[in-house]
Amino acid sequence: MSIKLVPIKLARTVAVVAALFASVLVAAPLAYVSNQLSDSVSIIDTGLGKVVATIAVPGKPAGVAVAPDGKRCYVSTPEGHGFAVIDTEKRALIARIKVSDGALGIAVSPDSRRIYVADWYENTVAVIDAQTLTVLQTIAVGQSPSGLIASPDNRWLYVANRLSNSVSKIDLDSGMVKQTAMVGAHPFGLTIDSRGERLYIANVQSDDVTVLDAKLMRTLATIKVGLLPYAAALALNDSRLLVTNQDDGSVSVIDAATLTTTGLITVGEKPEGISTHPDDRHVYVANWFDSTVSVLDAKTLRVINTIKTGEGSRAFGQFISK
Amino acid sequence: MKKIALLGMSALFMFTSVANAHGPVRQKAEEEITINAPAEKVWGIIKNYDDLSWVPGIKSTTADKGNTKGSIRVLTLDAGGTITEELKKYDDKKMTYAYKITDMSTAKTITHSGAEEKVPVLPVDNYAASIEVEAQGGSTLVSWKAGYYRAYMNNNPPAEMNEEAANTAVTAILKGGLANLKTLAEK
Repeated sequence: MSIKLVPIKLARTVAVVAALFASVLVAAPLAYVSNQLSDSVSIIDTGLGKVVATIAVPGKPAGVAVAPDGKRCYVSTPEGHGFAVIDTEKRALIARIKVSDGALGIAVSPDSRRIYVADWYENTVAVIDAQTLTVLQTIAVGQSPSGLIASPDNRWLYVANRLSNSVSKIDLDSGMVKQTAMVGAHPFGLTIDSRGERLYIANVQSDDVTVLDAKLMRTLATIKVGLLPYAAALALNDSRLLVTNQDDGSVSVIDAATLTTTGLITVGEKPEGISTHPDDRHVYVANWFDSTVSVLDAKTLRVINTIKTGEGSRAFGQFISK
Repeated sequence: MKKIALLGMSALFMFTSVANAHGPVRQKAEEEITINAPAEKVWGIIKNYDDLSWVPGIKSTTADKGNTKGSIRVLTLDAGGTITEELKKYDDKKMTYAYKITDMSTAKTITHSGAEEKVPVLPVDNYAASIEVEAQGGSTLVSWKAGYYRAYMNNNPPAEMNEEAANTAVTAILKGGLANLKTLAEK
């Protein structure tokens, strides 16, 4: 018996040492939360569960997009008429880029080479070279484009047009809108599954989520959620969709297999931006009114932490680094 | 013919998109007060959605469906004018309700950037608020929270319709209402 115990203990010690070593070498993913009313971005160390840095970002920061390679974080600044570039290693604001008057929704391509900025006012999407930070192209879409997301294969870009009640599918090779699908009333935030097959769109005015076939752009389902749904995120191998309900202070949980609502989690007041941690289990929600971030466990459907951020946290977009 | 109509439409479309310049930033106001009275008594004063007599400046209130969700109330102000609000949430057990402004009368018309602008009686847009009563031992904590935009939706707002005007007006209502509620409840 005692002979057997020794190697187990040893193995455990080795594992603990390895884990410690790994945590020193590889930092935990960081969450970048835009605080619109305090003109700043809070950086949360998801391993420590607290804010480790706050960066001043002028221009009422709203949208957030972390480059998949983890080197840059882009933050839209509607009053700065463009976006700000944060160097994630230096944790510093390194550039402020003018794009157009109503820059709000922002996303990065899966290869980190392009930045997409939707303009609420000009009804366009600007394609920006992440290296040179210059606008390569401007694509006309529907009215008041808001959330946008690229397909995992980097072939398509999907944009929710709030006032047109539609989603545009842009061919990234030609830079043209290939198809437009009608969705619910006032679509705002959207997400796509990891296979690029399904889009989930939160419709602010009709209090529901439209599920679209990403290829055919056909509606698969419309699912009722809470009041003023803002954005959505997938977790647990795309099996669960979590949707922030601004006016209910809650997150609706949808089963992706049955496309029905299966749970409701109470978070802070006016939850807005929502992003899934790379562990695919924890989901972070920015509560605009409370100026906090709720950390949810998508498995147990519980709030496991609430982190104080800055005034008016919005974090609209993919705000956690890989 | 079709082409002309289309051209006309796109011109109109461009015009409206210019008029609705980039959205202003949502504002918030939050006020709290501790009242030396039991929570039930405090909630009793404010619980009826059709009774806002505890808020100074409100002359009368009517609601079409009482305390049920969707109930529309119309507030008539001492200074003249009305505010229409829809009940979005009501929870008697948790002693809280939430509502939204759906319509307002115009306080005055001003000229700004060569256009006539109607200043609503409360200089805000897209206003949503909630009030909550919470027992804290023998006393009661009441919190009143509101999220809203300034009244002017274009760039470069006039002073009557900017963020400062919105914040000042909302804060005055929340503060005044809570102070008077304290007076009434501690009587």
